[in-house]
Amino acid sequence: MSDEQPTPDLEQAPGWQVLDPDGNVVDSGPIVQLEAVADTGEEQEQ
Amino acid sequence: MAAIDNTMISNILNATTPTGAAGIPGTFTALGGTAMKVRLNSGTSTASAAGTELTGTGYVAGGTAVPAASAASSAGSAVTLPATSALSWTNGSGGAWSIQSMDLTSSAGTRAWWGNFTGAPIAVANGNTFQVAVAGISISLT
Repeated sequence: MSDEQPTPDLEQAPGWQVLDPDGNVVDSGPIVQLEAVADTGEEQEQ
Repeated sequence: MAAIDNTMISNILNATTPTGAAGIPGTFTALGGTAMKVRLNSGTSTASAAGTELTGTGYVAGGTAVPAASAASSAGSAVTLPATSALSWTNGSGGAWSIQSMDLTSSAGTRAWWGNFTGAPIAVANGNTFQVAVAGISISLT
């Protein structure tokens, strides 16, 4: 008997934003995740 | 995709393996200097080189120093930055900025980490501000 709790989505917090002069958000993106994993040689599409 | 500079990879490997005289650990070359910097690039960064750096009024060559110390890694946890306040750059160049990637460097410009922004290239119109939020960059070894 457990109520399902929504899993917090930490990715919802923007990592970067572009603001207009009035402080309105005009664009945003996720947190930049830098991980020192091995490079497989497969390039991600930009 | 790897996000650590090739020179730093070798630095870490050599300092934690028996690459020194008679099999002792090699020497780690510390970055030193003052506060580390976040550098923005209009070009793509790779493990071997930073992308072409952003230019124009509102951006100082070499990047912007982080405002404070990040919480240290513990038990393998990630380190996030910036720690206490966002990093901001207001475009006064007269034209649009196109931001592709970033690098985390020493104050002297020695590169440690790099990454391309998800959603890049990011267009920042003249007069607008590009901001990296508190903990907007997360760095880990796993």
